[in-house]
Amino acid sequence: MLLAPIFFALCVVLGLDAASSRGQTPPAGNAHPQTQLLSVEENISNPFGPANSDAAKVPTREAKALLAAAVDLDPLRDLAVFHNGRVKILDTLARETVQRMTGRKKYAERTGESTYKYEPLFTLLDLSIDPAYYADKPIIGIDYLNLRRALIDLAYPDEADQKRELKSGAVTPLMLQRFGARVAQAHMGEEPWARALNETDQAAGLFIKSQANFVMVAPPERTAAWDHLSRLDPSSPARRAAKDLGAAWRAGDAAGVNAAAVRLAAELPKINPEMYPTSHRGIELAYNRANAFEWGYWMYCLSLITLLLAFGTGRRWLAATGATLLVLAVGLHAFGFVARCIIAERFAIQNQFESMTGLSLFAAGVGTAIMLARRQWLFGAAAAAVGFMVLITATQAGIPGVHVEREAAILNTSILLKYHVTTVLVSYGLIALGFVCSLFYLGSYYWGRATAPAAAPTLSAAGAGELSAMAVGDDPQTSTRAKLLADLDTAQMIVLQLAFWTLGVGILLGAWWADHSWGRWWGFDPKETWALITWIIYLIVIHVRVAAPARKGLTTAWLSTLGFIMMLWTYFGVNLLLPGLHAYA
Amino acid sequence: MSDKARRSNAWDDQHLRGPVLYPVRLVVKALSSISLAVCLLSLTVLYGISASVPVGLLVLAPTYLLYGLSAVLVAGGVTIPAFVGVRRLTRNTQRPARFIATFVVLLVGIMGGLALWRMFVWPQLRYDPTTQEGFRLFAGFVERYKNITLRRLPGIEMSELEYYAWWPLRVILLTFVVNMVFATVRRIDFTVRNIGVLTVHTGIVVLALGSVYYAGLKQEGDTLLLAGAIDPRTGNPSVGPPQDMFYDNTRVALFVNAGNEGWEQHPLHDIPRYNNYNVGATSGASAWATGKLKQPGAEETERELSLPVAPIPNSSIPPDVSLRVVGYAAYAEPGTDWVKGTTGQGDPLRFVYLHSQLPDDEGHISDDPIYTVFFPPRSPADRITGNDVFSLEYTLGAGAGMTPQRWKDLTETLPPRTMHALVVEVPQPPPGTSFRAVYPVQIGSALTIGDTGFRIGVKQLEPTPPFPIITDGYRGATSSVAVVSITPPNGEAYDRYVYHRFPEINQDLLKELKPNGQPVRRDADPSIRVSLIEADQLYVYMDEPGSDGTTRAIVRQKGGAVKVIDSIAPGSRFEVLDKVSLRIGERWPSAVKFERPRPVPPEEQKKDEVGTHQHSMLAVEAATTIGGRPYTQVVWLPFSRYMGVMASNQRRIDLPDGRSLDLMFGRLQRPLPGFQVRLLDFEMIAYDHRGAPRDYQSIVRVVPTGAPGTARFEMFDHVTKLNSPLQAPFHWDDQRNWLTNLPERLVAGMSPFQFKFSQAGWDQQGWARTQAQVDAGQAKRPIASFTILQVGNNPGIHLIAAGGIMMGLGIPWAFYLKPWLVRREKRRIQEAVAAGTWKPPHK
Repeated sequence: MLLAPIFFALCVVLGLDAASSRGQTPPAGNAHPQTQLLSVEENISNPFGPANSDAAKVPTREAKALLAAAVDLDPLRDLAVFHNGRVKILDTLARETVQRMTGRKKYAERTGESTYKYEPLFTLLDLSIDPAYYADKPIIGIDYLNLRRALIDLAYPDEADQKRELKSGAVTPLMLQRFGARVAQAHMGEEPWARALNETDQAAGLFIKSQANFVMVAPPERTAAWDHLSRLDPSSPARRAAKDLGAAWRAGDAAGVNAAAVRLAAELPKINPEMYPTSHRGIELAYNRANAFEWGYWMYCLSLITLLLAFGTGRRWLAATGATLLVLAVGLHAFGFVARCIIAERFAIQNQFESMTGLSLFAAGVGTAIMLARRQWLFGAAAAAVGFMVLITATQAGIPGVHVEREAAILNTSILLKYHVTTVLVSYGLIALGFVCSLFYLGSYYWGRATAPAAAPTLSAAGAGELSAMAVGDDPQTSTRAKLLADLDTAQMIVLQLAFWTLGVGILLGAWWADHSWGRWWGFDPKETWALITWIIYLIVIHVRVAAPARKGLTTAWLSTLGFIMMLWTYFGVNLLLPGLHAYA
Repeated sequence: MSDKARRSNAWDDQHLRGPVLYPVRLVVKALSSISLAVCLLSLTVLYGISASVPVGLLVLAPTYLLYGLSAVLVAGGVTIPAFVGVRRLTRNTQRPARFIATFVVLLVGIMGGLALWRMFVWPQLRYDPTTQEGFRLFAGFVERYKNITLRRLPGIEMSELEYYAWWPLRVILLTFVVNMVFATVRRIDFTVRNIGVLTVHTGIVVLALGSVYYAGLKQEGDTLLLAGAIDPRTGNPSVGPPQDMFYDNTRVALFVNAGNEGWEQHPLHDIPRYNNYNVGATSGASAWATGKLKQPGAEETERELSLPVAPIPNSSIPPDVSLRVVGYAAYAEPGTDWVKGTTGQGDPLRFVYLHSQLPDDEGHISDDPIYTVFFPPRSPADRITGNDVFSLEYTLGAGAGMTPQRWKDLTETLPPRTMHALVVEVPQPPPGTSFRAVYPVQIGSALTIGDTGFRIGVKQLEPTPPFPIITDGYRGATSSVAVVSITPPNGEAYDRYVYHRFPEINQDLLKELKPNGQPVRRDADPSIRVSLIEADQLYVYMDEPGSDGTTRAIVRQKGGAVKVIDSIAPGSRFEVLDKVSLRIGERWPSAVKFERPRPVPPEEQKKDEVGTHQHSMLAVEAATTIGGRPYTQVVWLPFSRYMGVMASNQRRIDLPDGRSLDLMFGRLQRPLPGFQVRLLDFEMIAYDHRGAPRDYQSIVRVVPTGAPGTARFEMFDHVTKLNSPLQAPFHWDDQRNWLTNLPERLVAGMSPFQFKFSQAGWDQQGWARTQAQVDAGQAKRPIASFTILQVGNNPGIHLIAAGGIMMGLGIPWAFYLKPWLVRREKRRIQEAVAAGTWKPPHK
């Protein structure tokens, strides 16, 4: 399973942008809607009153940290805001803004000996109310080391300063203002400089115009657009509350801020209340707070380790603990998935991140179900491994689509899509599950040979017998290495047969959808081609087992490994490296 | 091996013997084998890889394998000794403790090893394309072919669909199907328990047959429907014009209009897609080639192309004229070249070469020119060239750009550090005498012109005219301009536009206004002559005053210093800067403009438009015999995606005998069988609150064509949306019962004349513009002026679907029902054996 993140990273590193001539042309609505980081492009007044631009009034780091600790922004968290094509809550906007600007989940700075991490919502508001504070703070995150180094080298002549600043992973707005144009001029047009410069430009745009995104005034009807907070009448209660909040904030008056926040939170939903969202806001806040996918991979990890230790030690309490942890992990994972579906108002499997969370949920769910039905903990371990590796990759490897956005129009107008994508994702999940089973097979096969190549009875003494017993719920006395391998072969085939069927049906459903939507059932789009290649690998597995039954378990395990690599390529590589009609997949 | 396979082998042993039948036996045995199926499937996989993965990426595989191997070696080097050690140390401990110790050591060893590799090995191996440091096998090859799949190479030039329809894959798949049929018949018993695998295999055969039928008759493309005129009362569009054809997705055609007989379509075959062929094709000697002008893709000019344009029945092309495709530029912009004309045709052309004695990056000094410029001096727009550093101009004496007066002005000496200067001349009595002075100027300068009474104020000094020059003969030309205010001794002040390059078109703008509010213009008042001298960069003026080919030159350095060279012999050089010189090259007495492709470098190409012909140009040669002599002419045609709708890319070949051919290169047009489609209205449906587009809908009307009473359906309207295509001519009519609809639906599923129209594109700009008008209260509703529908027939799709369904149903039978049936049968046998009632089956 380590292959998954490595594969993704490889694809990103290669970054090739192959061109192709397609048999089909993508229809309107096939492309992902363009991301709109700033809701209002034109200059707009600050809803929190004139920002502080006087350097003398910039608070100290300690004062800022004290204010952050004293204010209570909870009333504001679930206020609705229209951004990037959908109505979300302010907490989400803050998280997205900070992530996009700093490259991290929270903006952090050292105050004395300790590091203070600011709540994203605090940072979002502070950027609009007191932007001067950040002029010399490293808040513009730059991933690309060469770009960061180029700016820091220009800003700091001293090598020690350069090393220190490089570690922050970010540069200050002042650095960008002074040296950004020079560096851009020197490297524009070169990849990967151009991409990094573009991302930095976007982050700087967010810094400069963060107040443009407070589009928080509900419209009178669905067809009308939401309005910016600063376009409210100056005498309206909400507008006054926002101004008061800004004034108190600049004065360092936490109590004033808290009082104004409560007023603002009370007033905004009163404007066109019939259009103001209600229940979704709470779910979105719960989704943000639960952070289900990150906690999920930790729970899967614990479950996996516990179950592996259970196999090795033969302790049943460890197996029970592992299984319980697995069920809890699946539950948490399912909560995250369902909440995201509700927030996005669609079946949330329409981008890379969502499909990863979906497929790992399906795989973990199926693995857990088989584990419980057959009382074979092996399936639980495989499920935990898949859940852990896929979720950690999805949340930690910069997979696109982490933020909930509107997706390509063509995906939202067909019921067939849900069946096609779901079936294919189930098959991918099962392929991953089958691969883990095959890894167990290969591990057992070669471990057995390495630790006791002579005979099966020794294996039993080495613990493989008990492992088999744990895996299949059998009597340890009758277990042998051959029995263990036979059981593991059965296990991998149970999963792989299901994967083969679901992948085949998924491809056929895709062909049906393509015929309906693109006018051609099969166009040899790279995604189609590679899904077929993956299917053919499992077709070969089935036929090889018939043609060469002697070492069919070992052959199956190796072919399952190959099939898994092919699936990874189909899943990540094709998306990133081979352009095609499955632009959104 | 199954019983049936054994029986089949036994039959073979018995019947397929002897020297004649033995080879048959081998073939039958091979076709019945599963190994062959596995080999064929593997070949299919390899074929798919070759079609979709760029060659450069495939070549990169060994590099990444070695990267991986290095990581495994480091991780193994750390882990294996630790593993062996811990196994020895824990030899006598209990199994759980031993397992935990081993597990931890393995985990820590592998992670630690990988961390070490990441810290110490990877930085050495990692390849940086910008510095070319690090380890990468075949780095140059990878870089060159990083975007190129096998099918894009010259000689193959296939789209994805064409590559997959190529014979090698057909042979593989056909052999696979035959293999499967043989293996099924000879190895699998036709029993209930085997229904699953038999269904799957039958499904594959049905799907394959359906695909053959489908591929043979498939047509696809798109069509563009225009909206009708807007009703000012309602703001809605009226019914749009009828559309009775669509543009093919992949096939292209040459359209010819000979003698205004109307356009006729000549389908083209084997036209390339990705590579340039003979991009240097011209009608005669070319200035680009003569001047050895460096072009991107120039190395591909040698790649030949010669595809005759097949004649069609009743063609209006004169029988003595034949057309041939002789060049193709895959991704290019039109550029202007000059070709040598016959005597009396076109204008003279002079080549000028720029030489540098400065060493290049490697320290070499070359005698070859570093740049070539060619000047058609009779064309004001083309006789000047340059950049921000220098400017060159080539004139032909008084007849074309260099009057003695201008020569005299340009040779005036200027004070040091002058950037701009005005030469002012005021005729004075007696005739033939005049006041003349040179004034260095800048914006705001105020000049008193001697004692003539004239005063001049400099208002603007512009590098380009404030308005485009529209004087006949000068369209497209550009020049720096001084806008000066002239106050005559006894009169009203007026403005004068003083052109540096074209003093003959200087103009006065009077205070008096025309009815439209613009100032009255007139030719420059001869009572005062003003000319502009520029010295803000290096200016070189080359002039050919006589007909003997001798050239003279003025070199004006930045800051004003001037050097006049009165005679330069053809082929000789003169220095314009330190170690930089110009050489006067060949002179063609006549040359004509020739439009030809200028290939766009790969990094500037739009990736999703590569291989679509979208930015391509096609060279067509017309050949005939005139006056007993063979005559050929080449013309380059830019591609037209929507011929007849979008901007015209029509080009003309004029034959010397007065005949002409209009040509266009575009997508093949196919007729809609028996019906037309018209656009009634279009709407983009956004998410709530004007979020991203959620759907698009075109309301269209399908109208039968042909003689009255012959139509097989009545006119109907349909709302075409994403995922809700229009079916025509058959459509499920809710007014009729399903028993009437169904047979026609089934027939339509097999018919190549049944089409499907899906929403594919729309007038986004028009919609956004009119939406803005609506927001401003200037329009009633947003309007799209056109919609694009994807068009395709689907012959045999039901067969394909049937095959797919059989596969989908057969697999679970084979995997889940069959084992259950086998287990049930086993149990029955065991029970029968236990009861003593079991009898073995007779074979």
